[in-house]
Amino acid sequence: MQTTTLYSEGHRWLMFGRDNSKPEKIIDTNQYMIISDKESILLDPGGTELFAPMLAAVLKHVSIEEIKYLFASHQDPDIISSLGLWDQVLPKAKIYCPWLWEGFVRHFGMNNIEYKAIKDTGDSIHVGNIDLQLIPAHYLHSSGNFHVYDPVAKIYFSGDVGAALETPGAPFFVEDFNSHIEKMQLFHQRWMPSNKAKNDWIKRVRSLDIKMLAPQHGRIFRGKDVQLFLDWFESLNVGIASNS
Amino acid sequence: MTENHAVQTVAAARIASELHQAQQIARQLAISSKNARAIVLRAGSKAAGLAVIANFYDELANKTIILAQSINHTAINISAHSVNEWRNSTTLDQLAKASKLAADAKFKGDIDENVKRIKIEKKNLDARFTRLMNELYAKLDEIQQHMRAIDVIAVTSKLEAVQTGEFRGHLVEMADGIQTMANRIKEHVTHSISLLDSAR
Repeated sequence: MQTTTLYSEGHRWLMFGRDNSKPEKIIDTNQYMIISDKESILLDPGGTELFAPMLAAVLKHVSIEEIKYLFASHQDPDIISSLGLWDQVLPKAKIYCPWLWEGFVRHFGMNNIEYKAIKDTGDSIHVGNIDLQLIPAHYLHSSGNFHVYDPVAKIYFSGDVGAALETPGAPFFVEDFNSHIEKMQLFHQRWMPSNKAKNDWIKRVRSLDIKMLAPQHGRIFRGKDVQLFLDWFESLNVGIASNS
Repeated sequence: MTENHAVQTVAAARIASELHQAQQIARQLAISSKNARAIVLRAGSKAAGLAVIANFYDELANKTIILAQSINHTAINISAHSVNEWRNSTTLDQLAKASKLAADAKFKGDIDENVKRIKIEKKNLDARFTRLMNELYAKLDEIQQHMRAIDVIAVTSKLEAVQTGEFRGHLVEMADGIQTMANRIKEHVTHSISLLDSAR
């Protein structure tokens, strides 16, 4: 599992991904960890297949007792099917996840971790010395869906929004926005079901000061690429699947 | 779930199904015993010796129904327990992988501590699993004993029926029916025990 530091000024943002040992046919995912003081949170900790490399990678930076929180943007297996395993090693942790998915996510196995249901309008999480905002992103793509915004680091964890289907070993950051579009287009058109939800989210996110937009698949957008992405996404027609 | 536990869990589920069928037969047995009691009453003093036997049928049939329900409960417990055991084993496998990958990790020791704790849990789970399997054996054995008793009583009741005159035919037929049902239950239980033996 490769690790890169996105921010390190008082608190830290780490990104984990591009795992060489990942089985070929499962989608590559980006996991994130925010560390502040003696507390940390894992954002979309990943699927069962990634548990061992993730745990090994995380323990290079923090002790297991310091992982106080998990965040699951939605219910998909690539997001949180590892929950049953984290549950065994983080018995005192709390998981923040949309209220809508509680009964579903518990199927992954949850005997110890506490479920903190996020209400539809969003919430905030206090981790160490920082407050993270949980921003609603319903129907992008899941019907109960949240992102995480850090107003100090100005990093926005965008879940499946901004995701790209990449070849193995792709760089961590978008270098050329235009050439990146082809890697994102189908993903957004097919996985995102609602133009209304998309435009509502874009309006909400444009009001935030974002330096990095960090998706759960593919590459991170920095600086002007964040605005380029929002403009591109705004003009994109999504929900294109047809039954005929 | 270890391979052996998986086999035992499947065996437990199949036993629950076998015992469900045995339970249905035991219900018919209970009805037959009530019919036998009615005939015995009609036969009056000539069938006085059969009254006790009819009650005994009824009692054994009802005990068999309750035991079959209890076996179903134990089988469900075994399945649920196996899921916990599977999670526990999976976590240990994943921690072993993580330990190798974390050779240079600052907090690698945290993995070892968790492995130690989960191994203790595994030992407890294994012990409980063995207890549940033994419980299942004991219950199956008890049903088998009930059926043997019913078989013996059926033979006795056929001998007693000779003295009941016009009711003899009915009572012998009924005893034969009860014997057949008991044998069918025995077959289900014998099959269940062989399933359990092959899973051990």
